[in-house]
Amino acid sequence: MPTWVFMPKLGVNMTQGVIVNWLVREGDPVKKGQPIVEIETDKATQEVEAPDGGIMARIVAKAGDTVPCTYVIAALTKMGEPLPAQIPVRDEESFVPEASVGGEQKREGESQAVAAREEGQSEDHLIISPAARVLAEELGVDFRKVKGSGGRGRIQKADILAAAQSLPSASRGAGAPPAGPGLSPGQVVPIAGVRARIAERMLQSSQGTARVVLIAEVDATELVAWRQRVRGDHGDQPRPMGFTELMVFIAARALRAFPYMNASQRGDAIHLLTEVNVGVAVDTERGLLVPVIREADQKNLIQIQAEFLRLTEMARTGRIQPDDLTGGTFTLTNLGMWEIDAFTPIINPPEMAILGVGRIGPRPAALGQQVIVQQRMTLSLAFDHRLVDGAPAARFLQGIKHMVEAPSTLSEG
Amino acid sequence: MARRITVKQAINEALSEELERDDRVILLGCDVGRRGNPFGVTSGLWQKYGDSRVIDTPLSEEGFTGMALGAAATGMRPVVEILYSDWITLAMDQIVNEIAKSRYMFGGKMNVPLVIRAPVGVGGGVAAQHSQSFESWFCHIPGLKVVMPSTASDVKGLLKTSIRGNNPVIFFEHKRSYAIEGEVPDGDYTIPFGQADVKRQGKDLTIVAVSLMVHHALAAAERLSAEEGIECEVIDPRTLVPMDWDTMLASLKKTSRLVVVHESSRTCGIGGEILAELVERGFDYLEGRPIRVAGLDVPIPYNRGLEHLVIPDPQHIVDAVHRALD
Amino acid sequence: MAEKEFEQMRKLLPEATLLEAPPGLSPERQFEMYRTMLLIREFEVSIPDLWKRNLVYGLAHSYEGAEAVAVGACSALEPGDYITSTHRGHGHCIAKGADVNLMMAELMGKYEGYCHGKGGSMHIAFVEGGMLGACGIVGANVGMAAGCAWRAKLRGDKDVTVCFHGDGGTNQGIWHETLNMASIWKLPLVYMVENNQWSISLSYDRAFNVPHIADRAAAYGIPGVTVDGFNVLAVYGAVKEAVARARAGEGPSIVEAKFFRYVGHFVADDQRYRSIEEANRWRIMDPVKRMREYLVGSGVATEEACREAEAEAHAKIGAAIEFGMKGTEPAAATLFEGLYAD
Repeated sequence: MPTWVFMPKLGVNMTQGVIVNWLVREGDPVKKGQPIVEIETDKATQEVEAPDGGIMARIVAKAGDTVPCTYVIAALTKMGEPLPAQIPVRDEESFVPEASVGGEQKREGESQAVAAREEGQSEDHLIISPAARVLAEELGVDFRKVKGSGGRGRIQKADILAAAQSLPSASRGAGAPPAGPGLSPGQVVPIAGVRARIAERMLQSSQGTARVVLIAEVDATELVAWRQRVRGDHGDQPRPMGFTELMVFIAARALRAFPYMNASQRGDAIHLLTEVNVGVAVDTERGLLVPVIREADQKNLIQIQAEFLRLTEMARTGRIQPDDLTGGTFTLTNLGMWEIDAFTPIINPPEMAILGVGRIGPRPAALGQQVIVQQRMTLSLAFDHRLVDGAPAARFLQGIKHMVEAPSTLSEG
Repeated sequence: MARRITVKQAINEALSEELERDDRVILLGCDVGRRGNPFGVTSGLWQKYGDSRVIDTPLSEEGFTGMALGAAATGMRPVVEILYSDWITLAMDQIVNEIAKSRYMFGGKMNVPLVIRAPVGVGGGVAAQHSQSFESWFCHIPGLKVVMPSTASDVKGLLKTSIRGNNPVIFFEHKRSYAIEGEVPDGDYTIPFGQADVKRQGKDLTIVAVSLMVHHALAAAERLSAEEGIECEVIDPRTLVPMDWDTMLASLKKTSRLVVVHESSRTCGIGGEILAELVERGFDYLEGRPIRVAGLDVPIPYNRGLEHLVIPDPQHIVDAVHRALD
Repeated sequence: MAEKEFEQMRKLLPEATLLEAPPGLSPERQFEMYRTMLLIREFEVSIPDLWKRNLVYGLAHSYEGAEAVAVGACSALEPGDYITSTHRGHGHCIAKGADVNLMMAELMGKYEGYCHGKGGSMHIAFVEGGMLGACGIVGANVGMAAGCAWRAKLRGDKDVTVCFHGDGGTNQGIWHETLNMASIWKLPLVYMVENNQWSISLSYDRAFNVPHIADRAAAYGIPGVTVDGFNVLAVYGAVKEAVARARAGEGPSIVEAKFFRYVGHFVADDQRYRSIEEANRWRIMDPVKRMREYLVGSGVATEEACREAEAEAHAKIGAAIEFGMKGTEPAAATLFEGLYAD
């Protein structure tokens, strides 16, 4: 039986070594205890001695090879002893296969979820995640009607969102297309899904807030010039800058300047919010959605546009995420593209105010005693008079008016 | 028939009865003998059982705790007293590396029937090095049992079980509970480990409270009931290792709201373990955010006004209940 | 032994003494001590190769060169007496009568080992044989030993406890704490200090301000003696006296066996903190060799008897290795076994 020479373990943490240099060649006689090879560990280079006397019959690992500990690196035979055809790869006696130690035993002592012993959903004990419950409240979804897709039928955020967007595959209360283009006389549209949600929220807002609308006409000359400049400067952008993005930029900064307008009611208190998240009303096939541009006051114009384009794309293709539809602190709604001048928007609960933007176009204006033609725009600010009075709200709208008329006073970055 | 006695008397009775019952039981520690412990907890015992059963030791916590291991391993049932739990740090190597592990390392071939009593708790202006509570450290060492009762009947029954059992036990009585009276059954009785006690039933919210905070939680629950009609269920785990999760989960299923209260400092305190485990196991029962009430992360100051700020009181618990019900 | 040789020894170790059987120690018992030393030696020299093959793993600390202490001390005990051991504990186990098969299986982590694979080299115990466990925290086991002696005193039992520990352990606080309590209460305890002059890389002269550890006994009002730790009969004599004192109720004593750790601290120690050449010079004091020379020289045993004993010890360890290799890996289901009683 040949003597197999193994890569020795020479340190507590050593798992492999490198052959540096063989001190004998194949065919050389070797004495027991004679150094035969130099190996490198993670700490130093060391000599390894022959475990027995004999002939160096085969060098298995070459200089430079990295070999795991207990693997065969050479074979020693006695004089005249043949080398077997099969040379073992490693020291089988010291080899411990992982399976026998680990086994398929479950890890004891890990906590067992109680519900593993229970059935899934039941009438009096709906399984719904805390996050889903909050989202359902925000989106006005009755989660009792929602089918859960989580483990054991748990209702999750995605289920609430699907119900809100009335994707047929996920929601029991599958939505119907909202009344809009493509419908014909005689067709009956159930008030369900997104339509129902919108109906509920609009009613809730109308009945639950003391809405007052302030109307202000502004000189849009500078605003138009600003847009022109930006389009010129950033001609390489995929979509040209729009007025909505400029108004989001301005509204966000106005909210910073008038923090009492960036607030909402919770219980018995008005919470002045720390983030300025501006929602923008977007018309989609499914109905009105209000994606939110988060921290709009921290974003520059290009960032606002990028985010706006992303959100509207997602909204229009039905791929928008729940997080993008929640957390708004103020809403902007622009009907100017449909030649609407002024209107009385409904506040988006739990926000305190909403800014309606009308069309920009040439209109007569006074300059001194003269009548001139000037680019003008009407702003309609609806606010909740329970929470803020007319004068402060008016100051806020006036602030916006001044920013629109002199945007150069704002830093664009 | 039941009697009303204080926690301190209950401890004294348990020790006395166990010394009587089994001559392998010994008490040891600084001032436990002739002085009867500075709080009077072991008074009368040396007079009755003498030097060979109630032993005054020199100031060598590591030494005598290690020696208690050797005595326990060869047939005795020592009850070590470390007068202020703060000084248990002096004996940490013996407790953690030898006492907790000998049975396991030696393949189950050695029993260590050893109890270490280490009174905890803030109060009286004894300041930073005489006021601490380290129960969460010891719950983290496999091999130990950790017992933390705070009423007379719980203390007596659990101390007996600790002494009669064959495992090492760290027994944390609260110094400020000593004067609290409670009813105690007559005669010999024990309370098993791993059995939480529902100290007050209620349907609106579950309060899990540890040690002295059990009494504060009950006071808060009474106030909430009388003034606001909120009915809190107060659960006292009594033993932290082993912990009775089933009782707490059954309560959480009923109420869906949770407040956890302990006196020791918040960060990495036992409240984190209780809250995390209950949330993990009982996630689907939760309606609202679970809340921890704990001591502040600061060494205990001497000034009594400052000292009072550090630890939870019934008002803190009431406030937490409101937040948890939100 | 030639005087010149002995003078060389004394140059290394001034405390060296010639081997001399104390009165009452029969030739049979002397030869038995030699056999036990051989068994320890064979066991210890087999470990490094097994370790390099990863059959024994983790930390293993060789008792080679220290055989005189374990065997000398344990030979002075009665059945029913106790010992505690250290991380360098194979010698104590074997000297106290451990089964080398079960020891080897434990070092290989097998379920058939003394601790069912839970302890390994540093935590072997066989409580039923009066061996209260080896401990991997240096010096900590004085607590266990003093506690065992405390129980004997309190219960009026007649057993004595010998606590093996190294020079390093005598600098731990607990050594002093227990010495103090043992001396106050007159516990039946022997502090068996194995002063091999090295705490890993810290040599004695850098760790102590007294020439002998036994000098510390005076601080506790108890007897202390230093003996040639390479001389099994000297160790035996000193421990026998200390044990008799303890059993008579006179309290603890310190027996310091002074020698030299001429192997590395642990099996893979490269010893870069000292001169290996210098360490190897101490091999002339090899306790097994000295006992053999004494036995043959004084006529207690023949050359042939010694060779037979050597072959037998070698075979026993070969069988132990085989026993260990055939052992089974503990199943995952045994992970929590033994954690708590009932």
